[in-house]
Amino acid sequence: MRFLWLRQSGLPILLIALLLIASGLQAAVTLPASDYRTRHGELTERERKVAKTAWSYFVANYQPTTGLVNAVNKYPSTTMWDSGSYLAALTAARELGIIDKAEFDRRFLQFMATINKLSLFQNQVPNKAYNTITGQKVNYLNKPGEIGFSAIDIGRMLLWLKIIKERYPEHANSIDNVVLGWDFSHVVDDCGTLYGAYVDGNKQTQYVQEGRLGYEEYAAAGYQLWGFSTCKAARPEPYALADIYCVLVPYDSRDPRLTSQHNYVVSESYVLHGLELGWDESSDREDHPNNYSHPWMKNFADRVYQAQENRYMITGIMTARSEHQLDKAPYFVYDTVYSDGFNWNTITDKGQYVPNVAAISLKAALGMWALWDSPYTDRLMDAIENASEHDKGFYEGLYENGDGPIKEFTANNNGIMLEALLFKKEGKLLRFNSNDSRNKNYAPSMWEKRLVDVFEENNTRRNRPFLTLTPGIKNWCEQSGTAVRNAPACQACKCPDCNSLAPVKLPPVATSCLKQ
Amino acid sequence: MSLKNGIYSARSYITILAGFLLGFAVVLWVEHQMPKRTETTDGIVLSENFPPLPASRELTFDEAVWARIAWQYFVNNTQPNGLVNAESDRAWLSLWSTGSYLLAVIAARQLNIIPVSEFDDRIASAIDALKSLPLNASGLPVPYYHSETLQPIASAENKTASAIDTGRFLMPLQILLWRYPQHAVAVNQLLIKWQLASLLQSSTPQSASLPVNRWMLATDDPRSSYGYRLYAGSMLRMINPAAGLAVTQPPDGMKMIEIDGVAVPDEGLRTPWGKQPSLVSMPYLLTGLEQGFDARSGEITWRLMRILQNRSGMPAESETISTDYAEPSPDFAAALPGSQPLPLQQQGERKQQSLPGPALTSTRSAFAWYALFRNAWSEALLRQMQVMIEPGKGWKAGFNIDGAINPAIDADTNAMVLESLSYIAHGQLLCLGCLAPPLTAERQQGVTSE
Repeated sequence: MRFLWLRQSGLPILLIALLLIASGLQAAVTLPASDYRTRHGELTERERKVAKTAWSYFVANYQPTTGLVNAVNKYPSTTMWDSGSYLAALTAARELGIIDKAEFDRRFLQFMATINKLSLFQNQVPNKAYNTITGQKVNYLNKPGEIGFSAIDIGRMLLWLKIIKERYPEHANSIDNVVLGWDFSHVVDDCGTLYGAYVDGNKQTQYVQEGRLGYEEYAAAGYQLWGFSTCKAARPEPYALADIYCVLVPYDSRDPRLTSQHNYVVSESYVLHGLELGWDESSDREDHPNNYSHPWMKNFADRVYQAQENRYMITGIMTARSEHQLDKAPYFVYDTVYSDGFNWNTITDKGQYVPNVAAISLKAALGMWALWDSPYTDRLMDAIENASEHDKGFYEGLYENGDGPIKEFTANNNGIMLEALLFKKEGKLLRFNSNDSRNKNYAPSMWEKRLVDVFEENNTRRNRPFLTLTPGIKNWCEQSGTAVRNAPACQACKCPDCNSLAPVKLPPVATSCLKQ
Repeated sequence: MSLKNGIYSARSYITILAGFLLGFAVVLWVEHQMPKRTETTDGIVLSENFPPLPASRELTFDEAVWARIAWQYFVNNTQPNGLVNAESDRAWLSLWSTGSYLLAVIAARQLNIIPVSEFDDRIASAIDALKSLPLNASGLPVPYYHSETLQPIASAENKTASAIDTGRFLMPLQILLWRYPQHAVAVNQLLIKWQLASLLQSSTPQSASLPVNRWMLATDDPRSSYGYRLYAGSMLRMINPAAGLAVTQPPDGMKMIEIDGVAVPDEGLRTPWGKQPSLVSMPYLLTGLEQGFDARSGEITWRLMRILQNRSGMPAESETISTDYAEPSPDFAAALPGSQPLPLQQQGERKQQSLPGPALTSTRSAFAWYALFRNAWSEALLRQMQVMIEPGKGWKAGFNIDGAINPAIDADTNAMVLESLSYIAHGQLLCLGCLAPPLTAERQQGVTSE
């Protein structure tokens, strides 16, 4: 028996050894970014000042009638994405001691009450936009109406609901109630592809694959945290590499001319994954700083960072790119590292090239500052720390061409800045509480209790995921006499062409600049 | 008359004699303090510890970025006429700085920083602009031009660009002829316009026994030292039949000077107090990067490096003491084919390999040392130069004598950074053997895949 065990263990050891050798050869060229550490420690006085200023946005733009916060200064409209940023800000403000638990609870309870009562898009999931004063679903002009839903925005909201559920279990039930009310039939398919919805010219609802490399996987992590399998959305493929200042930067290779979705590469999606999930797998309950269990997110993030640092070192242009608002027409741009076939492309949502409004995005800058401790991000911090207005929060950005600040204030910008500062203090923001479902005496949440119940009709009707039966949940089912809803025997049969366990082979980080 | 009286009456003579003796002692003492200067007739041969030349290798990621930082200087400072400022944002140029620019373009092409089309465009427009330079009465360029207007700078109108500058300028032209013959016609048209022979208007023969004229520097050249003559001479000797003998004839007999026990040529820097002993490494480094070393320039460079290395507090002898059965690893990275220095971020741990004080050196020579002799010292030297990066502008000149940073950003520094990095990846710039594509599937010794 002992020999048998040895034989069995010999193969994996050999495989691991081979893997180590292979990765050693592959890692011949690494980016400086991969050796920068994340920032960690108590906030300095200067950083606390930044946090307080950022929070002032959420004081100024709070709507007492709904508990929602305007996505853009003084404009009473918001989305699930921006509300996710508000939850991030709220959590950070509490953890950083800017507000106390009482203030947090008051705000959060009211927010959840509104979210729970939202009129959903065709009774499925939240509409793309809501009026923050009335709480009604609205169209792009903030007039009552419904326009579709965004799987990416909902992904961010799911992620933040999960973070708060784990951090503050006293709010777990109200959070579960909200998510139990959503219908995921048209959001996630059997292959784990994410779909958004829009209403076309004939008032017909169209469901289209949503999300491009970076954002797609970030949103997928939100769904994974609630048990969804997101095989296709979570895979990096299809992607290609753009050579940008010696760095091979991955971009989504689905052609924007055919899909009418821009394949923009920006800091934001990678920064958010780093701050909230620590570039770990969504199932990774540990938080070891500078240890990243996600197979490629850190690697891709490093490339996006390094291309921007290199641009600064070579051309002298301070660079921290993201999508952002403007204080003048066209009011919103994708200000990218790469998009639609071009490096450093700055485009409107229609794809029009507007290089004059390229800017240092403050949320990208501070996110990069938190995740890469480097002389370059020190300089970024120096550049942005006072780009704010009293009682309004931080400016959206600083124009690269020297036109000064973008005098617009948003929940997303200030929220991400706050979560970056919280990351410095506490590390990865998703903190699982000690209640681990792998333990036998685990107490399942309401979400789990419903999902494993075979007689809960909404499970199938609303396309809720099948949970893995951990010892804790199994034990609870046995004790409570719940008939277990099991996943079909062959889940792979539903989607044979996607294997979420297939290893991701990391492409080289740089080639053309180095080769002889 | 007693002795006492005798001495008393001779007191003035004794005082004078004592004075003489004292003065003589002072002279002897001063002489002793001066570095030894010896006339030599025997040639310089390679010393036994001369290291093997490094094999070319791929650039590291850091190096690739450094090269692009240097190239940004030329992006910023190219004038619409196709030539480049010698100094950042200051509109003048010389033949020397223009030579630097052309070499930078060639290195940038080698390193694939610019595509072929940009290379051809830059070279063509630069040579076009050079063809339009107004010449002086003797049919040669003047020392300095406005880089915007391409007019001679007032003070330089009647002078002639120095032979040394011209020699450097001929270097990239030579490389163009060999490696990029699409520009050969333009180079020819340029040289047709210039009366290069008049650079060598020389003195009368100094003695009947010498059949050739000694080479007189036509102008008072700041780069008149032995090393620069040696460097420029390799190009200038091709000007006409007399040039070869003229420029290779040492000006006043080569003098050697002994510093820290190492004999190197005395460059005899001219100062208001007369010729002072001095060391100049630049021309030897340039020789290595552009033409490849010969025994003389290689050995001199090697000796200079040993002096600098000793003075920087990291003597070569203190490296790698073997405590194991293994052979001590040699102090040059070139021993291992294709081996690269550690990335900067990982070098922090190798504390023993940082220099104790700031190396008082220029950025350009730090890069050249790094490229030509890859060892712990030159790597440490380069690490200290990281502060010289000025994002968006290029590399700053280097450290001043007092350890302060010289913030000037110029074409020569940034060109030499590019030349050095090109040397690492492709060897010397004028490399005829490099024209042939490498034989298929060259295998590294000792490495087998199966």
